[in-house]
Amino acid sequence: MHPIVPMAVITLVLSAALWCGMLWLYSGRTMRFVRLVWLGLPLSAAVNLLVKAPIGEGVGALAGIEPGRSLDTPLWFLVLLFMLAPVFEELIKVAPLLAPAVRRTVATADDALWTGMALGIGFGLGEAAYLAWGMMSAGLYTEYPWYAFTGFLSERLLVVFMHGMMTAVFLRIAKGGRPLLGYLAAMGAHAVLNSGAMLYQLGVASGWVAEVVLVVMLIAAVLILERIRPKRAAAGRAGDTVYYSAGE
Amino acid sequence: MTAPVLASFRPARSFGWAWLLAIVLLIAASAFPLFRPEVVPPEERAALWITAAIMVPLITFLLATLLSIPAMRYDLTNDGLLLSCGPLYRYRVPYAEITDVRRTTLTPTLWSSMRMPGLALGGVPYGDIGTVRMCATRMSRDILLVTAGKRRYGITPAGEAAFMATLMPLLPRPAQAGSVVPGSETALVEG
Repeated sequence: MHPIVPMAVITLVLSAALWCGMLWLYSGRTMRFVRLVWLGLPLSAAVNLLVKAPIGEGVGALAGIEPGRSLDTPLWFLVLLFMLAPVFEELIKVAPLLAPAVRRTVATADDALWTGMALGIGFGLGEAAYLAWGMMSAGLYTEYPWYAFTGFLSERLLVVFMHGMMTAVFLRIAKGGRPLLGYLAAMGAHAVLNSGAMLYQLGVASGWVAEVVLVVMLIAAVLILERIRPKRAAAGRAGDTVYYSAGE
Repeated sequence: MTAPVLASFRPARSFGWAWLLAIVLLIAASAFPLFRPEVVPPEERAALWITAAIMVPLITFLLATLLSIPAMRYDLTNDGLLLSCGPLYRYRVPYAEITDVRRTTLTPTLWSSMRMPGLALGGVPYGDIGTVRMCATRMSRDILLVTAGKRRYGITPAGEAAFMATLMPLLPRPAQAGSVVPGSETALVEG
């Protein structure tokens, strides 16, 4: 068994429990949106195998460019590879909304926020499984013990939430009547999120740069979510049991 | 000299300790490479020391918190309410400063704090009312919220009615005991 497998299982279980739990709690202790998470699960594998890989390999073959990324690769091709994920992943994450039954869950801006969060979390979980499968099928890193993959755990745990946030912002803005702006916001955030990893792959930045970018984006995402998510108004406190009040 | 304790109450039971134990084990698992430095590439071994510098104090703190949970209690003294969970979390709330006591449900935020299902300790930010100093075995539901001046405290006594029956006579002014705010449930004050 490849050593990534135990860590991938831990990562998927922990990420699903944490972010589905958050979704359930924040959306009003309802399973209504959590049920949508599974719709996003196959989308990462689909977009990678059916869209990104054929485009990257096809354009590279047409232009006679060797596979792989380095500073010798033409800049336009690097930009193309860099933009494949933001452009197509942010589109496919909302593809389940083509189904009328899913579209009906988005009645309000708050519904749009939680529906996007659910679809993005599902996509992120599927992406973690897809990456682990890719590592296994390529036979990479077999010399390491399973507990050496804690970086996979910490990175994927956060990226699952980030996928949820990007799709949540997309759909919330779209529900406000500006779908193109929502898409561009999600795509731009995705590109910034991937920028550190791209620089690392090109050998122009250390691995910690990608981690710093992820942490900064995470803090920004939490700030945004805490600002835009619905909160219980004072009227919602009507159900409180008041034992004592000095009347101040 | 500490004031004599008139009555002492335990928190409601919960499995918050299991969550905290799971977190400790998870963090400890991420420290495995410290015991097998040979699996780490030589150029990344400096990271082991950084990991140790972060992990050891963090695991020690979490273990101390875990071991403190059985000691969580709410003491009523002559002049104040003492909330404690071992040596790490202790709050004294003078009765003279208490302006509001209510059972409510709070909305947690994503900001980091010592709160998880079945446990909330220390300052915990909530989306609807800001930071609450928690000493509780529930994270958000049915929290007994005590407002004292500008500070808020969250507790979860096991026998809430008995706790309130003991606390009410100690509060400074005639309370609107049994009063009901518009749309609220009937207050359960006894005694």
